[in-house]
Amino acid sequence: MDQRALYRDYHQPIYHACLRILRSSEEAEECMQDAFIKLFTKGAPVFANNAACYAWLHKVAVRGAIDRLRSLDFRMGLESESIEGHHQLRNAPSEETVIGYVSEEGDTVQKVNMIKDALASLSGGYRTILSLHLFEGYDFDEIAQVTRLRPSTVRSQYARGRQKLQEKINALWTR
Amino acid sequence: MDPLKSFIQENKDLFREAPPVPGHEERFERRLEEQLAKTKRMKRNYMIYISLAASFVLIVSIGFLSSPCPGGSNACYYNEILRLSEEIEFNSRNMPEYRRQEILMTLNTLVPGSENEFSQSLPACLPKNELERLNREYYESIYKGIKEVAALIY
Repeated sequence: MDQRALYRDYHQPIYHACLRILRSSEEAEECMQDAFIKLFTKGAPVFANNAACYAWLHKVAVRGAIDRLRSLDFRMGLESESIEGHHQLRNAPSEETVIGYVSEEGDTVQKVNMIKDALASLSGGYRTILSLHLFEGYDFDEIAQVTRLRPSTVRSQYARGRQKLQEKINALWTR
Repeated sequence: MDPLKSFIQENKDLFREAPPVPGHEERFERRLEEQLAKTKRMKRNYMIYISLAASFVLIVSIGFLSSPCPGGSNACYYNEILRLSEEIEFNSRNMPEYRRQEILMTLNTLVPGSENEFSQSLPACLPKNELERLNREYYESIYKGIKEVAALIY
């Protein structure tokens, strides 16, 4: 497949993955394009098929987005609750209490917007882990690999982030 | 499975974010061209540096290998001086006698008595490195002189 066709076919999901992590369209576009540039200029591995190529691009872009996020956090001095933070989970919520709002009946579009808003308002670290798990379908080991964190840290950060997300959704719901 | 995750998976289309800002493809092509030019330039510079480094290594190794004493020790130069003077003595046997005597007398004045002759005449207070350097230079210059004498015979 030629470069333009490859870019046209795969740029959207990769851009969205970057955007969910970075929350800035400019940064996400640069991050997505960096992955393609790496593929076209630096001699990436030979892929068996397009799916493998897409998986490689996705991983490179996500890794790039995480690095960008870290450098943005560093520049803005956002040390707390960043992806580097090794917070231990206290009072981890059970799944039943956390899912409360989502399982209720209601307007789906409204729910979607609420979840999006709640996710966007989370700190970069939690947002990254939750996005990778909930939207991109990464398991905790894959997230640990891509974020260079320990799997146990990823699990506890996910649970904590998930709790925070639920709190924000509940707050939006009762507003 | 986490109900939130299932909800997201079921409504994936609704969660879709806005597409990239229009013109992203042109911006990408521009960036790609710039990067390709940069890579090409870097490759060319890399080749130049590699060639320069290889030439330098070649010149140094030729110089090193052509020297009879690559380590540069005075003992080695002294042995070379003795070997060369014996060679001159043997090769000059068919020369006219007056010429041969002239050459042998020059040789006698040049060839040092021992490999430590020069270092013994140096002040003891000199640092070891400096002592070694002076010694090496002394025997090396004698060796070069004798080589020139040998060139007169052949």
